[in-house]
Amino acid sequence: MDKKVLREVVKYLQQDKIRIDSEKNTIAVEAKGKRTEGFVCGALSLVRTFEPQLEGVTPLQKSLTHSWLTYCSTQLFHCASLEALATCLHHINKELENRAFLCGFSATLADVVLFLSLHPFVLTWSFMQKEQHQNLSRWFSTMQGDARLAATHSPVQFSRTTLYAGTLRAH
Amino acid sequence: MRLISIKEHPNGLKILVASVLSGQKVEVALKPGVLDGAVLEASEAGVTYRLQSNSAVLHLLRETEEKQESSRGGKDSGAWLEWDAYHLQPVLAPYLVSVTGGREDKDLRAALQSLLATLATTHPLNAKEVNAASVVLFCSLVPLLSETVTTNLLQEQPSLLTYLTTLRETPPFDECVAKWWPGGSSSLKSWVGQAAPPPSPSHSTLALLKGCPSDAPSRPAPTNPADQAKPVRATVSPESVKEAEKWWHHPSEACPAPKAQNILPVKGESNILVTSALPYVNNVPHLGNIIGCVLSSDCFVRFCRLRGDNVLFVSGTDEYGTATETKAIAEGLTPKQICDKYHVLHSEIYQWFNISFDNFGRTTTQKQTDITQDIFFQLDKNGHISQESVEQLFCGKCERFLADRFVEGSCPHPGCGYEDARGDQCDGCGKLVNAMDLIRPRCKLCSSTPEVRSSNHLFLDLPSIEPKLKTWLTTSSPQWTANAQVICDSWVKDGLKKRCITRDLKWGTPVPKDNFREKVFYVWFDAPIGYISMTACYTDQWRQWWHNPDQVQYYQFMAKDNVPFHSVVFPSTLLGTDEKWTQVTHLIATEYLNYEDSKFSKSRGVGVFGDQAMSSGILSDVWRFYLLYLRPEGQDTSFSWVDLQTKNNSELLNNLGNFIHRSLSFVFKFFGGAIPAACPAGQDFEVMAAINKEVKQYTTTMATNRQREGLRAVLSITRIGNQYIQEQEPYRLVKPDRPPEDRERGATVTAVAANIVALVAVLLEPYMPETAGRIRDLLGNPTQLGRLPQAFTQFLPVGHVIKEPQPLITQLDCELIEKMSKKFGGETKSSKKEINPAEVTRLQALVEAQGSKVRQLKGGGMASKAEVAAEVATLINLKSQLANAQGVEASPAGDKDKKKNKKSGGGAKENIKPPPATQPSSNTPVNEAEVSRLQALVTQQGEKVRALKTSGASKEAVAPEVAVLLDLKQQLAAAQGINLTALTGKDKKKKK
Repeated sequence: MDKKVLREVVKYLQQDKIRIDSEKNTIAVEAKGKRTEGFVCGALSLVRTFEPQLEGVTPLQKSLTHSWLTYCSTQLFHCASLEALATCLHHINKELENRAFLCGFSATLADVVLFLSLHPFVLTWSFMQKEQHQNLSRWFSTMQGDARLAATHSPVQFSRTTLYAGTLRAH
Repeated sequence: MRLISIKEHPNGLKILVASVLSGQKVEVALKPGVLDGAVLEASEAGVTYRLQSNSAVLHLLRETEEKQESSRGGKDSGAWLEWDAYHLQPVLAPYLVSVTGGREDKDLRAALQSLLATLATTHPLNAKEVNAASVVLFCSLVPLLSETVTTNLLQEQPSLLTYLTTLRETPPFDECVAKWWPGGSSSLKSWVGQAAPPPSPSHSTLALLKGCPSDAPSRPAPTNPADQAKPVRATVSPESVKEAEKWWHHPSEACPAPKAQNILPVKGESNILVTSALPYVNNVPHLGNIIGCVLSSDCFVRFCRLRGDNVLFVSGTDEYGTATETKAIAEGLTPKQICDKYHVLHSEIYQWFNISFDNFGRTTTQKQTDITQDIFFQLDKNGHISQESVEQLFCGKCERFLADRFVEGSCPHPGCGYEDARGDQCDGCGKLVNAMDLIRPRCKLCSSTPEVRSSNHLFLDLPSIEPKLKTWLTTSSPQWTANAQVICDSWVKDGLKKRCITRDLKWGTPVPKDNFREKVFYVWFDAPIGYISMTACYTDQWRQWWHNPDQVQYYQFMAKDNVPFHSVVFPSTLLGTDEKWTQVTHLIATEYLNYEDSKFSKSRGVGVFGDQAMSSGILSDVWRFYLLYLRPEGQDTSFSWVDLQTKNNSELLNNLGNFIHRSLSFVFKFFGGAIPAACPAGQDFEVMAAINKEVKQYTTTMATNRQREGLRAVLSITRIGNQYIQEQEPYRLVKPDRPPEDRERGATVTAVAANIVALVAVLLEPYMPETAGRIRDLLGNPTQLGRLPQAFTQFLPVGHVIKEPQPLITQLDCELIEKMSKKFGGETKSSKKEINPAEVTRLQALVEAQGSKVRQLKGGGMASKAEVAAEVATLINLKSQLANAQGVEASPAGDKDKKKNKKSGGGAKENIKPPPATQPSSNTPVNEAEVSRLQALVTQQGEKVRALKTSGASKEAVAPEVAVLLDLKQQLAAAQGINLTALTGKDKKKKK
């Protein structure tokens, strides 16, 4: 999954002269003659080279981007079961409760990576699931408004009115 | 900043060391169950964020890191941090768990060994140079020094061991370690296993997406992940598993033999009489009426038939009464013609909904007259009928006594005062009203104030029957639904009064008593007797049902507004005869169903009515499913189109339809359509036990008329089935290249799944009879599926042949749903267009000013034709804007203006042309598809612009997108017939 997402990040940055290889279960990117190993370091090196503001503006934002990328590469990408994935989604939804984007009030690489990872899953969600992950859905619907993401990813419909408020039961 | 950590977790130590190194103070809070062991809370601009431990170290040491950046070659800290999180932790954490458990895992040990070797050879291990990487690596590895086994492991890498021990003695590591682990070194037991170990990088979340392998049938949409994520299978006890095994092996015991339908009660058997409240003939029933009585009762009746009871299901149209007379006057027909016309309409609707009445009769029959009069004679004989002269409202203009429903006025009940209370009941407070008590009464037909005249009427003496009623209620009412009990209680508590049972009408059951022959019975007196007469029309043996209280259980279904007459008046009528009538034992009353959060209303066109549902293109089974899914049992519920779509697509299609289709496809594809032999084992019987639990739940909830829960039990079974297939993957097991025991296993799973389908075919019958029939047809109509089984078993014997499965459920797309919700939303929504009063007054003033200007010009005779024309054009433009602001269609106003201008005969009339800008608004009809297409585009573009703005894009980047958005908005306005150009034009003028 790391590789797929990293490839999409490259596409998002609209770069083509970048090589991605994975040997001995270590992924690496090579851009402008510089090779960087690891998903987190690789992705960060790409944005530092091509779009530095995506790493975040303040030091805290940069650290948060690092934290979220690490979270993706160690947790989200390697869910063995749907329960594990549900736990991740729950965590992310909770974190998005008090802010517009993962690392504050502007989108960073962390948001792009999370969007690229979740898009195939969110596509299959029912309205009920979308409502269960309300903050995540709100964030997702903002992210898909991004011109570059909208151009490559089919839109997902969200309902602004809650349909199941108070009626979500075990079934 | 705040460090939140599990007690003694090394990830907490990482943050602690980093904070001391950087001189930034952190407050320490120990908490169990912190994700990943420890996090650092930091705030910025009033928002609190959480950093994972490695990122927190990086954050705290950012300055030092940036200084070192230039001077160092090789891997930087970031790379080591990632190595720690991605490579080391997934091995180290489970390894430490195994050590703490007392059994060191050799494989993990070897893996860790090679990782440590890599570390020792590639990391400088220079204890003098302290950076983020050394903090993280030290804290991750230092716990290894606490146990002998683990120290042994470290000793194989002497340079690493020295590095760690040296660092442990170096400030600030020494003090931090002492503070974090007061014992001097980590005691693994206190923290290992407290945080979930990171998942192994070998799993890929993407694999979860491919839940449906390519060789499985792909027609129905794949089951959605969250449905599977929920543990649908409750835990089952070993006894229930054993029992499930017994049922499986003895199908004949589980399935009772089919039984011929009997329409008469049989002594010693379960005999059930079911009636549904009689729909009033002159209204087309809406969805609320349908779920309120007929559909609920049909669901129950079908369940009883499955259970093998003797069931008689009777209902019909209630046809007598003033409302029919009114309707007849309105349509210019006789009351009889009205009833004939609408009775057919009702029958068609219920037939379409597959309501399985044994008899759907009517109250205008000879049997009705005979039985009603009989009952009346008995009551009269027993002294329960009295005569009284009644002061009644008489409308001089219409020359008739006004029946209750022909009078309206203010509600007399204190505190209500509802102005349009009817003469029999107030819609405002729901209480019954005596027409004479109405404040300011008026005739409904001519609105004149009626006068009071006296007329003789017959009364049912309820107080004299009250003692009997009370005794009877104590035995019967405990089994009623809660709302019925409450309504009935409050009635009896208020004290029963004599009730007038005759009316001055023509259209009704004639009163068989001298001096009253020109009168008829009040509709509420004789309507419930319709249940009896309709049974009598069905069979001459009707007394076996109606005079048989010991053998017959009588269920009445209705909405809550019908409770008083069914719980008090009708029982009293029967009790007063002193004959042995079958009385209601179970009064099942529902609450109301609303339509998209407002009431159904025929006059306002809000809501879906029976005939409209028929022409909606949505299958009656889907309607049945959804209405029963939200049957208003405990409280009012609300019909919603989007919810209907969601339930259809998620529950019916993805869950139920998908399971049935897949299961049967396996039989058809892999076993040529014949059920394979099965040798179920422990896990299969566990599944069966879980299913049996749901069957039991289904049986009890259906028997007590909790139909929503029953439906959920059915859906749980298919969900269990889906999960069973998902786990067992029979489509893989049966592949020819698999070993024989695998293929045998595949056959077992396929056979069990097919039998679950057979079970669902039975259980679904009360809810979706057509679909259930189609499933049975696919299964080759085995007779054993006609009855409710006691438990899950082999319904389909080995070798039984099935047909090729066809998809059962179709997806409801958004387009249809949108169309429907627009069509049935009534006028209320469209007229909701917002009106801005300030704008209206401003425009009105402008119109007036411009009007007088034009008049002056014309009157003065000084101005040229062209000048006048220009001013008039401005006036027309303003007027159309005003109309728009008031929410009125612009065109009529425009036309009128034109005419007026012609009439006024001003010299300029030939030259006047409406300004071109108003053209689209007045002439082009609104193209709805185009409007919604543009609306979607506008929303999309709007989000894009918002996203751009929030992402901090430059003005130049945002501007073109905004331009596109404005352009789209203008197109939309044009398509909607709103005159935007005129508005902007006017704005410009104002600025000048």
